[in-house]
Amino acid sequence: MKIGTALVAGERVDFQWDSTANTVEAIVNGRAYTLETKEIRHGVYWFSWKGRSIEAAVLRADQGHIVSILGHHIPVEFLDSRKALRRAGHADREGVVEVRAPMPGKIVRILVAEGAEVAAHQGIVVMEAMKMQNEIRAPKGGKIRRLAVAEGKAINSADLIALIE
Amino acid sequence: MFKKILIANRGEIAVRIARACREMGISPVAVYSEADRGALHVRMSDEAYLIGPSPSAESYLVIEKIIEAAKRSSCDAVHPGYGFLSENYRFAQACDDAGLAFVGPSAKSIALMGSKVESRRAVAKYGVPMIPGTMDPVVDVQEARRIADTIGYPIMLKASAGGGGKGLRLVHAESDLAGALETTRAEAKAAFGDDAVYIEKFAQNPRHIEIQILADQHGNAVFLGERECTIQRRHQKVIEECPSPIMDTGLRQRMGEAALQVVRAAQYYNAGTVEFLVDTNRQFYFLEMNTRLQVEHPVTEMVTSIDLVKEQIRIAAGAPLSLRQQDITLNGAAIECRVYAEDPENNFFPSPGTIRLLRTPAGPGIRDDSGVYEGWNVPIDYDPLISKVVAWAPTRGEAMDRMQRALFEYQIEGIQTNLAFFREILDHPDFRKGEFDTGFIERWLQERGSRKPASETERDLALIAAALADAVQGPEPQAVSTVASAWKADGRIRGLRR
Repeated sequence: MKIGTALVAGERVDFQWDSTANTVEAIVNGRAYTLETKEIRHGVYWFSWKGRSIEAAVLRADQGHIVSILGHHIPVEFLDSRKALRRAGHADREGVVEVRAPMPGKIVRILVAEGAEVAAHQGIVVMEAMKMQNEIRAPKGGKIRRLAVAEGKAINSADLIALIE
Repeated sequence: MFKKILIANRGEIAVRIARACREMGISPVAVYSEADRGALHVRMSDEAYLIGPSPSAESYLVIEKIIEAAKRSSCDAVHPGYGFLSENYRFAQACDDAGLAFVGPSAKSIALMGSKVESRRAVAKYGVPMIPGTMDPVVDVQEARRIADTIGYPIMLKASAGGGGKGLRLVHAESDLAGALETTRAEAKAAFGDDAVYIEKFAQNPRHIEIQILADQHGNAVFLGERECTIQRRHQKVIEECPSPIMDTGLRQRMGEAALQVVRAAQYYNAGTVEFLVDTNRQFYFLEMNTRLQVEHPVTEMVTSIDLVKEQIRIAAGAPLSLRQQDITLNGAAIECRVYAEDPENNFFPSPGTIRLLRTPAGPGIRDDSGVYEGWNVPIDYDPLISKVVAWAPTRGEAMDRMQRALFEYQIEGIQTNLAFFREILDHPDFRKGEFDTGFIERWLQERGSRKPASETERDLALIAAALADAVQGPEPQAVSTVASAWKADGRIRGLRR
């Protein structure tokens, strides 16, 4: 029986499990599962759970895994005790959000000024990439503490666009 | 008939054309950029020639390189596909000058229909109904304001050289006009090298319906029914069907005849599509003619049993049309979903990267026109269309059920796609009833909010699957956790290439 802690879709979960070639027994936050399984190939699993036929594909990600199941993509990260502590610290960090470029492109227009108050989902800049102009929007409401780009500037993916506080 | 055809395109459409060539005993010849080394269209062709770096401006859009590849490989014809050079009259002319048959209309027809202003003028003479607006590009904001006041808001700003949903802006009020005009001009200049923009009245709740035509070089022309292309997002079609749920024989006949008038006005030959807006009173208005094969051509093929690409090639070889109007019948219903590498949960940002897992749909009535394979890296440089799934069935309802089934079977992992988005639209009661207009998706996205999160059971099973994978030693297929990291990874690779 293996025991562990994981973050599943951002929520902390305690679990234990055991497997043979064709079955898995698991308890997840107190919920018991008995599954028929077959490894289709490494990372791709078929389950039969209460007669339901379900497929899950596990893909390695930057932190942990992304599991594709029944049309959902669910992040799963296994935590050792040190990682679990670090995570807890992160959660109550001050409320500054970094807005970063999702792809390389060009800033064609800036829609807000530094110091301005923005609402959640309000456009911050217009970026051109893949021949389309897209608005980059504020992930949350707040004050634009820093605007790190200028109109006409080419930017790379993950470059800082703005800090919202 | 031709012996060898150079396919001046990439992705799924290049694969589609290679298939038609092979069925006709013609050898398909591919061209490719550096990003497309080993692409599916290259693997499906008999010969392949590198034509330059990844940016299309340095490869797929360079006329000289493509002509040179065609000559080097002793091709006798060139098929341009859609996009890229397909509606560039200089390319058609260059093929002509090089003694290569261009699988498409004459350079003259392309030039005429490629100018929104000139085409409206030419078509107006043939009595085809048209939306109120300007015939000429607007000179400045003052003039734009005056015209908009006369025809009334909302209005559409349209790049004169535009197409494929690019270079379009909807303007609701005068306060937005100046900014919108500037943006449209800039986009038009960047995308088409021409910043001419004209104004049209915006029809409320319209449907977007187009007529497929085929015309030979001997003056014969037929229309092959309509395609319903109303389901769009940001003026880009996402779902198309044939027949249109609002069509009847009378309207189809009138629209078909109007389309043939457009063919006459343009002295058009080869395959072409005449786009119309149809308002709530079932009045139709000419929008534009696309002088090429359309992305959504498969729905027409499924319902008419006519292979449009083969017909294109026969026409280009000088053969007279073997079809008369009375030979063309519509059988059953077909629907197409355009599968894009994009993330509907993140403002539809493109999601390039490596396809780690691919299961394609099959079975009765399903056609998957794909340009990718498992392990293929969807490049950042081009349109993110990766495949078109088409479902055919005797009735519209069954075609939708079949499409829903195909979407269930379709699995693409490693990049984000809009498959889940289609599954939801196909279940929407208004969509099932055929009651929608071009604003359908935008309204639905607003009402719907975020997607329903995964259930507790789904999350628990995901954890169990991850635990199984984690316990086994060995490389697990790599995913991209967020859009940003996919781009980061891609950027790193590109950085190394430079």
